[in-house]
Amino acid sequence: MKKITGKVLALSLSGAMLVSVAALTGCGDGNSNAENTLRIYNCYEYIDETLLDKFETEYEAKTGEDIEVEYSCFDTPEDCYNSLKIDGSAYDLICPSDYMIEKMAREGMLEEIELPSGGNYMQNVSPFIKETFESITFDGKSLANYAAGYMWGTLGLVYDSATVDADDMNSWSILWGGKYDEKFTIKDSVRDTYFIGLARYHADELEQYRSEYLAGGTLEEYQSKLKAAFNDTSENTVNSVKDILMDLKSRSWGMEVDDGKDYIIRGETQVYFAWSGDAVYAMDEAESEDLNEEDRKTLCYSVPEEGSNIWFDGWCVPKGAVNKDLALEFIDFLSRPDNVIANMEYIGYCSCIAGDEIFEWVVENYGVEGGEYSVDLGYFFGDHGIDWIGGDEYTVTTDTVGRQFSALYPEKSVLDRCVVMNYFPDADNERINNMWSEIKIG
Amino acid sequence: MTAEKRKSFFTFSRKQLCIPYALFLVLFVIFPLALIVYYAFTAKDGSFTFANFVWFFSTPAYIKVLFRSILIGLLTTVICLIIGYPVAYVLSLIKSHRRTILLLLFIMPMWINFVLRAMAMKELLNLVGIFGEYDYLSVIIGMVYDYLPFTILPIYSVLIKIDKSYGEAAADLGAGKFKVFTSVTLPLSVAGIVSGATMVFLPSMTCYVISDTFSNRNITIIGKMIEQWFGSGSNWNYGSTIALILLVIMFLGTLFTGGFSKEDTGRGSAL
Repeated sequence: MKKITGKVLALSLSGAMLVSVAALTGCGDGNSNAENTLRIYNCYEYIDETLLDKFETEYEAKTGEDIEVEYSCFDTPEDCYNSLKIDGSAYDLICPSDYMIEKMAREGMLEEIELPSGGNYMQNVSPFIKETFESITFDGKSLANYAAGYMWGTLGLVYDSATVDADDMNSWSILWGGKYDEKFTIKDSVRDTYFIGLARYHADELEQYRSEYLAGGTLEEYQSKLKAAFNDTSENTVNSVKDILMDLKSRSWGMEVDDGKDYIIRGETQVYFAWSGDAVYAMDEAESEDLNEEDRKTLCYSVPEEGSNIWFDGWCVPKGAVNKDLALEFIDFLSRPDNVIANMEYIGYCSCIAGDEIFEWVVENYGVEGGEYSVDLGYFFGDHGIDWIGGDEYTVTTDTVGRQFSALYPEKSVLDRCVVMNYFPDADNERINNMWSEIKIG
Repeated sequence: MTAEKRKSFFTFSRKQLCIPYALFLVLFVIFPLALIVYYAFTAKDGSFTFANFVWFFSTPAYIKVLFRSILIGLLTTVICLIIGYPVAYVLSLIKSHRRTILLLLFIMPMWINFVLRAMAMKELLNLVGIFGEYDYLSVIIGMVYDYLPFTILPIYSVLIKIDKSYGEAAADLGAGKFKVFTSVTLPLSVAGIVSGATMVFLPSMTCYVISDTFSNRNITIIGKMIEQWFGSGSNWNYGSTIALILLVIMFLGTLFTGGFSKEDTGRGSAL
């Protein structure tokens, strides 16, 4: 008898434990009933968090409904993928990168979304982004069916204009040239570094494609050739790129994913292989008035001529989402010009949303009016129909080529040589990652 | 009868106090371990296979990184012991009230997050010109810096428990100070050394945050490979295989050094 009651007590105790464990693990959900909670899963430091409260307040004012935004973060798109693989209904809205959106959509992990044509997103999204999303197709669908663009940019080289010859930065190959040995960092990120490995491996072909295009070839043909070269995952290529990247690693000062901007700001390196958003951040910080005058630097950004990568992140709704409508509402909210500007100011990256308010803000904020050089941003801001300098054209004159403004909004001629790197199917991904481990181990 | 019954309701055996831990063990140790074993022995489609192990042992790079990690682990352990033992010894000799303060000084760094400490140490090495020039040296310094308290404490806690009269007896029988140390104190503190060593060797083989921070990611150790396959590699089977191989190596290592012996009571007891 004694023993049994003891067991009963122990059991009920352990039951209580389990309940409390469950309560602990579920604490994020708090008092929520799923109906009025929006669960967002985004990359770290990738939103102005005051916008979350603002959304709650505005939504209540508009509909009278009291909602709650639950915001969580991931490190890499792969983490986002893994979380959703484990629990597909954990989030209502996620923000992965281009290739990961494609992978998830192909694997049936994403809801199709359709944003209202009169809403902020469809009204304001840049035609360039829209076309880019529509150009990535699979199974009769395109990325535009699954994602709404958030931020975008290119891959390039940030350099210290005082010590580096700007002409050198027109080619990826300079990194193998010996001149900048131990003075540059590369990314500890397989896709990005593989990309420049491909640029080096296909250097001759890329140069040929470029000269054919400049001699009058069509853009379509040029782009499709670039795409083939920068998405080459054949066994031969991967083997050759391995040697190329081994060499690059031994020449580099080191690898980084986040610290590269600090290294160049402090002058430990002179060349920094960077995403354009980080490039803007580095340029801003390097000339910040918080630094001593002798420590300030004028950094520049260049997208080499062989071609480069254009990347973007987009908002998607996972298959198991409970609150799809609220998720779409939030996308619309984020695409409203005032919120776009708040976000761009906070993150420093370039939004996929165009529109006149944003154009004016960029021009004002980066002081690009009045210079020798004119840049036509019609491809990005086009078709919004206000009279800007010179009629309908979004042309600005500037003397700050290669600086923040051009990193955020490259000229069309730069984007002509940029392509998206697709997702790699499992077998190719494994081959490339095996190569990458060998490079890492060295 | 009823009184007895009521009394028995509130009594339960001491063993049952372990239930919370047993639950913890099942949820957070045994269950994940089972998952690792499952993934290590299956292919991506879920079918049983040994292919993951063949892949690991037939790739020279992985053998290389394994040996590199073992080497870094061994070096770190040896240096930690060389530095840590004398410190623990001196601490154990000091009179008690001062000892508390000194001990606190050695424990205090552990109250600061280790990533933060690693960053600070990196800046320091940068200042003296080692960082960025000598990658292996930086990594070893970083590892030793981080794991030193873990060697000092177990050795110290064994040393203070040694009965002083053993040493006095040895001295009475004519042993010099050095002889007393080598034939009495040192053998009696082996348990502390072993437990300190296992607490340093095993983690320093895999703690890639330190090797990454101190070498600009130029030196890769085996823990990083696990991370890669769970991350960008998206192959949990490979990741789990490496984790399982490490687990076996660590298990054998602990067995070999007698880490499971009953006398070993020093492990972390000063913590």
